[in-house]
Amino acid sequence: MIKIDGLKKTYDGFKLDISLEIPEGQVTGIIGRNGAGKSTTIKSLLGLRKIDGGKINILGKNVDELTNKDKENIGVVLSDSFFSLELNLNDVNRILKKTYKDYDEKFFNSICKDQGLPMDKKLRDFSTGMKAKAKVITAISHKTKILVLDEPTAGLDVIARNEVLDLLRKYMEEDPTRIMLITSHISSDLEGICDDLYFIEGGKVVLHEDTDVILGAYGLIKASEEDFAKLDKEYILASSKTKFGYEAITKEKKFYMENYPNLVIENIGIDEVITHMTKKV
Amino acid sequence: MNGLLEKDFRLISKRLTYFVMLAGIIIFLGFSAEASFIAAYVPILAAICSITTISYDEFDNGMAYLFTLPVKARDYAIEKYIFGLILGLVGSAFSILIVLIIGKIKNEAVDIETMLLILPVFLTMMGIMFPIELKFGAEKSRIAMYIVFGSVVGLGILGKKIIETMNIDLTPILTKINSMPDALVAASIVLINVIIFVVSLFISIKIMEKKEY
Repeated sequence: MIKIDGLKKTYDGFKLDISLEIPEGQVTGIIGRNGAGKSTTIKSLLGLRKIDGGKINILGKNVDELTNKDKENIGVVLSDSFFSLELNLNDVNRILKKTYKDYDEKFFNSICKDQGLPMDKKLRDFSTGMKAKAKVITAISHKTKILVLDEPTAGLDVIARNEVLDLLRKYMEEDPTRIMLITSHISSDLEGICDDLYFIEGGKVVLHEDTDVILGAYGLIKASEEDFAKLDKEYILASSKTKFGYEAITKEKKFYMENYPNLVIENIGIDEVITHMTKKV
Repeated sequence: MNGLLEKDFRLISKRLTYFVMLAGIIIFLGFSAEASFIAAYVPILAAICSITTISYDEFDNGMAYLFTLPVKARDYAIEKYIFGLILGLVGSAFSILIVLIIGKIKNEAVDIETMLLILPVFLTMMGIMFPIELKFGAEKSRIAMYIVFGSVVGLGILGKKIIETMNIDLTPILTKINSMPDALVAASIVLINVIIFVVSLFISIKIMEKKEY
């Protein structure tokens, strides 16, 4: 289990204050704009940043108390960091072999081959897609209980993105107790793989919801100023004024459909939820 | 830790041609220069080569990833010193071998003893350079190293000036050192180098433990 309880970090006038919890067997996504605090959250979770307050618990231990053996159970992809790009995958293979007890060399080599990654080419000469795949394959090559992935699909085209997500999906299916935390600013990536989602904005969690609920129960209400004034606002999460009236996000689409049959209520995707939740009214 | 060593040897091996060239220079020096010169050359090379691996780690923000591996800040520092030690010892052994072989070819006596006294200086070189590199990073540490080595030379000159102007007679100390058994002097020199190396390691561990990525 991963539990972040009131993580606080202040830097350059930016304040991060996050709590989240990922139980065993769950895939959780963190979604937010660039600079919302995703990477800082991930880096704090991994102990790469010192925190100003709060508690971070992984595998039942405080993050500062994790031993190297515990860390063998955490597979990581960082958006901006990997092994030296002067190395090739043969080198990476040898390094991993000496780093992780449960490293699966056969798996690593065969997946690299399947994905068309050359073993003897410098990582620096890899395309963005190839680099991203190499990072993900490395993270899942040593049978970890926890995967922490920061923007594993950033900069990839649709096909490469789906290939990376497929690798991750397969990995999670192998062992139902595995945990995955993934960040992205591309919502469609998370839609298909995450059980629940945290929306982060300005260093805070603005929404935490099951993916199914967002896709099933959330809706976008479009109302004139007059209609909007009459609206029961109990299930409205956010609203904003537009040229033609108001737009509002609800988590009870059905309630409004039944009680306000004349209103326009549309299905909504994760992208639109973010857009509206982060819009200043 | 083993993984880090493997990484560093692999990083270094990427510059194989560079090392063959260095070995060539050492061999060339062996023919033309004195053994003590080669002995002074090797520590510098060993120190620079190990420092290079830190620059590689830092490049492209690679440090952050390294610390997601089962590696603690302290492990990283210790590994660098072990790696430096290996390079220093291998370099020393190589240079002694070259000097011996060339001595045989030229049929000259070889001053191995002086070499053995100078070679451990790599411990001090690394002892000074590692913490600076770890603290300031590849770019800034270059300036820091100029300052440090400049100050060392400056202090030396200053010391000499003070001794001269104050008319301090160092002869008794020097005679005392001279009267000590050679083995004791040699052991002290090695010991001083080792102490600097070990103290430096602890400083580096502290530096690494404070870092964030």
